[in-house]
Amino acid sequence: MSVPSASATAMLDPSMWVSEFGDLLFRFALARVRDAAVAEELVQETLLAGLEGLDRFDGRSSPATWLVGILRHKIADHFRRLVRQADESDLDDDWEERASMAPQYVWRVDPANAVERRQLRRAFEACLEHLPASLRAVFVLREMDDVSTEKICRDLGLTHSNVWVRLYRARSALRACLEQTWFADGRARPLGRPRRTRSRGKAPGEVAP
Amino acid sequence: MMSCAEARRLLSRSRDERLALRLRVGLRLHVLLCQFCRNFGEQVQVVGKIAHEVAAEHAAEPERLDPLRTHECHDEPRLSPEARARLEAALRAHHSPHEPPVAQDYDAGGP
Repeated sequence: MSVPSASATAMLDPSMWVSEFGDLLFRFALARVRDAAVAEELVQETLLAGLEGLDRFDGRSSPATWLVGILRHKIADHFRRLVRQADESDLDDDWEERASMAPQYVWRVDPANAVERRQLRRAFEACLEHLPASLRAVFVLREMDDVSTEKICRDLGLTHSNVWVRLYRARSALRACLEQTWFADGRARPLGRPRRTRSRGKAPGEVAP
Repeated sequence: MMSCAEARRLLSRSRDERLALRLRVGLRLHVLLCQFCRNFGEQVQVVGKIAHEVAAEHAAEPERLDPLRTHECHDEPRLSPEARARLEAALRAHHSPHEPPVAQDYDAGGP
């Protein structure tokens, strides 16, 4: 018999939920919806749904995982509303232009540099925040939560080709945004120039691929 | 040969499903000859990888992505005290719906 963990005990006492799981759920939601007010609302819906469905919590998963599972559904509902509300203007104008920009640099990412990778994640989140919401919804489900395009079609009520178009535009726009805000800042080699400089061996700052 | 626009659409789509053989061959040929689309393909992979890392960072049981990360990260987003209070109140309201309301001050405006 395993002893119930502290958080499993907290599960039985809903007055502990906010202090125990509030920040975790909030961060999970915020990473996906990029709006603190919406994230808070989704956390509230999740906690209340958890309260109503508490008799269905069987302790097989951890309380955090169980609540995050509910939160995922709430986020999907939110995305469906977003996509319904969004008009087609989200799918053209300057986003189209931005998305169609050709790559200008060969990106350099040093897998060993933890600080840089963390900064890169923050730069990515800033770019994600600027993405039109109806593109972001599809991108987040596909690339962050690894949901299949079939399920995205069903959940958001979109056709396959519409999902592919949105993913293509989201990826292209995020690629362009990261290039402008992060990689262009000395962290990339301009495309089309020879890899080797005149000096022998590696150029200063060049990172082996 | 397929256009750059078509090649990039397929580079994106190949992250979501296995392309038909005909498209795979055409795409391979294009990417072999076009360094811009080759680069686009690599960058789209990097974007996906970062998105995955961000998700892992905020998961229910967060993965440790780098050694400098500790449990108490000061720049991690948290609920504001006000938001916390609002959530506590909402939970209380639902948790004990049959509790009598707080006694009113009947002295005010009395006879």
